[in-house]
Amino acid sequence: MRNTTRRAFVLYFVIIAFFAGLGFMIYNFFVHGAEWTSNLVNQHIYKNGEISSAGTVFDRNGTKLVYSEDGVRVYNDDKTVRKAMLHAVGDNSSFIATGVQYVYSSKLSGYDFVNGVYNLKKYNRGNDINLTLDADICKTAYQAMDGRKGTIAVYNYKTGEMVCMVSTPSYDPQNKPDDIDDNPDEYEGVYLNRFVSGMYTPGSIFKIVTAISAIENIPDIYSQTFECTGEYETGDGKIICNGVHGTVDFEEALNHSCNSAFAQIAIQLGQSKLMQTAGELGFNTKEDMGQITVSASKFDVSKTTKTDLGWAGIGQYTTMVNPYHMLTLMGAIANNGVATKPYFVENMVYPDGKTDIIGKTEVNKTVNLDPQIAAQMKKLLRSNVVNYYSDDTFPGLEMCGKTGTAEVEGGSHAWFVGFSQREDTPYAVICVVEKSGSGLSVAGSVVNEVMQEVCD
Amino acid sequence: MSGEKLNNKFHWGFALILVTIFQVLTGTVAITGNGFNSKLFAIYAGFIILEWGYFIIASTFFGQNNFEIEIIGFLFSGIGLTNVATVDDGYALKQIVAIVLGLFVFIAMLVVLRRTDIVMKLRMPVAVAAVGLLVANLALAKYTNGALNWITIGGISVQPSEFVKLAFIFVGAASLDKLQNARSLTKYLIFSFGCVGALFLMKDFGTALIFFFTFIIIAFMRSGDVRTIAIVCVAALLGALMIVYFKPHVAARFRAYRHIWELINEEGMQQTRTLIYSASGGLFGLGIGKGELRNVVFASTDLAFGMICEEWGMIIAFTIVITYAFLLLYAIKVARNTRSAFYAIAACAAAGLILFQTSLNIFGVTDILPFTGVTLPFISRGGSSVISSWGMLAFIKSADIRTYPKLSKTILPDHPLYPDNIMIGKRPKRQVYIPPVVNKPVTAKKPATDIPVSKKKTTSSAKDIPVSKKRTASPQSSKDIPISRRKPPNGGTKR
Repeated sequence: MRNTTRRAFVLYFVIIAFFAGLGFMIYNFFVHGAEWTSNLVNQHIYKNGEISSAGTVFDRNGTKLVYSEDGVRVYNDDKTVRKAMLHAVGDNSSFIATGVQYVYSSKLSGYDFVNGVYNLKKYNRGNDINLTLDADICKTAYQAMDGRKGTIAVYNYKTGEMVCMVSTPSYDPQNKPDDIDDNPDEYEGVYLNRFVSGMYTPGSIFKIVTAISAIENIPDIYSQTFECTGEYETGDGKIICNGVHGTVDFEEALNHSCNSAFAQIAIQLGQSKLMQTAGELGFNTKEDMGQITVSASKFDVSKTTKTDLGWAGIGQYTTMVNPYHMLTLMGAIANNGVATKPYFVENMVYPDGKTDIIGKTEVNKTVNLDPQIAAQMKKLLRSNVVNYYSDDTFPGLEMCGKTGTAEVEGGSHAWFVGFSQREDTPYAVICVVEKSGSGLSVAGSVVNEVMQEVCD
Repeated sequence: MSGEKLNNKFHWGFALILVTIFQVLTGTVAITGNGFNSKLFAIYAGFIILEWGYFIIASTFFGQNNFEIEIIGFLFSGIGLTNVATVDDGYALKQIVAIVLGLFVFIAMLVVLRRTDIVMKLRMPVAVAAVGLLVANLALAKYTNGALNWITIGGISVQPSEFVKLAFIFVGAASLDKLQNARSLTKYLIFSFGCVGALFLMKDFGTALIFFFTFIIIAFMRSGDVRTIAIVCVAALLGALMIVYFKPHVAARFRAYRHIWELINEEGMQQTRTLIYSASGGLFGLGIGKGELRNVVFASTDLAFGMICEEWGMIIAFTIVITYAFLLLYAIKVARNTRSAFYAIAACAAAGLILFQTSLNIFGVTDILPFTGVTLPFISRGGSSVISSWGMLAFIKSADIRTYPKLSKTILPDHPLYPDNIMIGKRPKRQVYIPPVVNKPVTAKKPATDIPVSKKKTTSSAKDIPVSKKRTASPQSSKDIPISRRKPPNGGTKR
């Protein structure tokens, strides 16, 4: 009998196992609760797979970009603003995986471990989110893109705040067109925010990277001269230039974006030095923007012929860049080598008025640029505008920059990257317009239109 | 003495008042949720009258002083009632009928369990009836939700396996031979194999697992034979592996386990919704009737835990499931002082079964264990489950020494359940040691019922002697002393 009762002690192990299971369950709720409640099937937040009850998203001037009313998401009343802000705000059905309504859905729903979504049910509103973007500037940018595909983004390279981020093509999230899936050309990659997820052949804007590597590794780069006959014979192939530039020095080569000269510089640098510089500048490294996933720029010349290395040095070959990364690099050049991270989600406001900071000034440690080289690069980019693009193209902005015309199948991407060096307008900009022609005339004019409004 | 008695009564009375307040508050939400519902009002009024009636009658006319078990039973039943009432008032009616029947089964079982001579006579008929019930189930049942575990008699659906659970523990605990050894396991092993096998044929794997777990508890407590039990476990594991190997569709039923988010609208539907909505409820819940999980299929049966989390909040939900663990702690504790191994084994098996079934339910719906669709005792909608859960409580309560103050009269020294007999062959000498203080209470001449529980725990061993000691002056009186008494004060005889 005593045996029997003493054997009951094994049941203590059952109780211990039970409590261990409970602990594991609570741990899971604590860690994954936000993710679980954000699931599209959660009828508290979504109806028929569409977000219905959540907080308001404001732009930097307090303009309502989207809010909930009677269980329906209502977007800004200006159709162009809705389209311009689509990729920042996101859509109802979470197709846009980098939009605020998807990435910060648990914040918008007001979920927290203690209260669940109680506040959402009680006040029919979650937490609000403030963006750093300016809806008016984005609208201008969207109109300047004029129906062409691509992206334009502007950020303050001292603070990291983005004021403009537009990706095209776009659509109106309030009245989503029915024919999106039927028009793969018109709506190519419409759910992608090209600024964060886009991967593009850089073309001549990559010459900035080659130039940085040259300044870093070739002591007499400024005294060297290069012959351009319209093409450059590498020994195992040839590089075609965009013109016949004759004898140019380093600065002139960048001004004219001379392919012959930069192919020679790239070959002179060699594979390992060029890759090292690219690595230091953040290529091949993933660096996310807050909770938003960003694609990493790719550069690899480890197994190239001389000709391919030459092509790589002028931004062709297999090199792909991400606009977010290139904008950060521009910021580093403009900001004395300090690469401030762009962000566009400012903070979250609870129903009781308390705020939580989401985005703040941070340095991107994967982009490492020597301040002296940054200063030299800044001079070179300024000389591009002064000597070649002309300040009349960007009146009053004191722009520094580099254009690019990246040849891809079926056309060429027009690029412009740059920044205003005026102390009072510390803004860096990136613009790519897909398959639309030459960098300066296409992207340059879009950038000017937007930057005039930004710096106004 | 009378003051302490009152004090003792006050404890359960106070607890009952708290439980009633809780039930009135939560019930009011259910009754008035969609305008005043007079049908639900009548059901709740009946329920509260039922519980107070039980406590008053049991304490006044039957000298019962301790109601821990019943309070938990009524608390859980009330939560289950409210949970199903907010889904459909038709469910509430069935649920209250099940609670009444459950209480009836509880009382009936307490009456039967008191008479161990009747228990011994009933073993074989109950075992035969249980197997017969399962066979009838297999013969009559049609597939319902992938399992064969329902039969319909005259329009009423019954889940026979729920009642077989009671028989399983009853037979297992009562089939004690005089020798506690591996041999005595054989008959019970055959009975168990029959039950588990029938459940497998019904494809009710969750219940089969519960039976197997209960079997392990009973077998271990009876024999202490770790080797035999290890062999049985290994054999069961091999059997399970073979079933998975030869019948892949069985394994396919569990393919959602740890993959629920990939199968969010298929096999993972119930689990993902439970997690999503439980998290949505937070610690304090969204309010009774205001959840979304209720719209998921079988929410009030399989996902009751998730509904409670979402609507009542995690604090209440976790308090409830922790209470199941306390039932087992209580059973372990009362088993130490019980009069016979039968009660100890039955109580531990019943409480272990409840906790194991709770685990399968709550960890199943949260994807910590495979989802088997077993009910949450007392709280899930389902008459058979509620009745069976109350029956389990009867096993636990019967082990409490305070339940049958006059029990020793019914166990005769030649009875196989007689404590001394159980010890034969193990340690024949040691347990006859009786502390010399044993006769003290006889001279004290206090009515036994006067001794409060608290007193029994703290006072020296002599005062612990039950009523029987004082009233029967028969020559075998010393043998009548309950097991607890025999514990040597210094523990010197401990093995």
